[in-house]
Amino acid sequence: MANPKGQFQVDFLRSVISHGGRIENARFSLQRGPLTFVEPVYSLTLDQHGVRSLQELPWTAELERYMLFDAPRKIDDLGEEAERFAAILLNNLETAAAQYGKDTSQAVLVATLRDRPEYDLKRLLDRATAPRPSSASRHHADCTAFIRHSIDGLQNTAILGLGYSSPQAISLMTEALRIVLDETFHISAADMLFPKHA
Amino acid sequence: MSPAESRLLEFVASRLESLLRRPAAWGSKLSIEEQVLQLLELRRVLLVPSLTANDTHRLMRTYTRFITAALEDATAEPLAIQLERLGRGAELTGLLAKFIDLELAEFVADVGLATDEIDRTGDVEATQRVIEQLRKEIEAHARRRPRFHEAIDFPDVKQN
Repeated sequence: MANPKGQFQVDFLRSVISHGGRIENARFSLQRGPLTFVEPVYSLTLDQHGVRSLQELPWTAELERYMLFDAPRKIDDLGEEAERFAAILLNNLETAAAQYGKDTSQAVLVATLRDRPEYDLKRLLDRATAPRPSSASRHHADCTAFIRHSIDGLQNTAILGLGYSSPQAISLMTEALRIVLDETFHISAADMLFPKHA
Repeated sequence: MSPAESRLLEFVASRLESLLRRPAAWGSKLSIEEQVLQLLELRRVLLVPSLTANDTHRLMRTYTRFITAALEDATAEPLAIQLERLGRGAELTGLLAKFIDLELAEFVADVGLATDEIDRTGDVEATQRVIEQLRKEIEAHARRRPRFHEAIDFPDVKQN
C-alpha cells in the first residue's frame, strides 16, 4: 500500500526539480543507537534559483525509489551512502520477515552471505545466531530468492544507476551488510552493554 | 528466539500489565503477588534458555532485598500480607510495578556478570535475547510508528 507521506515527499521533490531547482547536497543517517531502532533520514540541501533550504525527510520506500530509479542520486559521503544501502536492505529484510517469518528470513540472510566471500563478513557472521529452519520448502526458496534479489539488485543499481565502480559498489555493500548484521543480531550493542562477552 | 518463545514473552508482558492495571480481576492481593513472581520467573527462563527451574534464587533474593528496602521491620512474609497488616494494602500494585522494572534492570546486570553459570554459547544468545527484550520494552513505551514500508523492488538487470 502506498504511503501518503512518501508520495508527498516525492511530489515535493518533483515539483522542485520541475521548477528549475536541484538537489545540491545529499546526506543520510540511520540514526543508530544501541537500544534504539534506526530512524533513517535524508538531509537534502535544495537550491531553488539561488535560494537554498535544508529538508530533513524521514526515509520512505517511495522517496528511496525516487532517489534510486527516477532521479538517481548519490549520497555525498561514502559512509553515509553505506548507511543508506543498509536502510534499503533492512527494509527488505523486514518485509521478508513479515512475509516468510523472522527466523526464516534471518537464517536465509546468514546462509546467503556465507556464500558471498567477496563481502568479507565472516567475523560478524560467526556471531549471528540464526536458527536453521528446513530449507526444503517453497517458502524457504521464495525467501532466498527475494533476499538474493535484494542484495544483487542493490549492487547492480549502485553500479548501473548511481554510477559507482564495481570495487566501490562491493565496498559499499560490505559496509551496508555489516550494519545490517549488526542491527539484526545486536552485535555492537552486546559488546557495549556486556563487554565481558565481546 | 523462536516465534513461540517470543509469543510467550509477549504473553508475560501483557499479563503483568493486566495484573497491575486490574488487580481485582485476578484474585486476592496475595494471589496477585504470587502470579507476578511466577511470571517473572518465566521471563527469566525465556530470556536465558540455559536457566532451569532451580535457578530462581536470584529472583527471590532480589525480591527479598526489595521488600527490605520498601518496608521498615520487614519480615519473611509475602509483601501483600505485610502491607495489609500495616494498613498499606493499596500500595501493593505500585510496589510490584517498581519491582518488575527493577528486576529487569538487575537481570540485565546479572547476564553481564554470570559467566560461570552460563556457557559461552548461551552467553551470546542470552545477551541477544535481553537486548531484544529491552528494545521491545522501549518500543512499547514509545509506541513507535512502523519504521519501514513495502519492499524496494529492483529491476532485473545484469551487468555486461
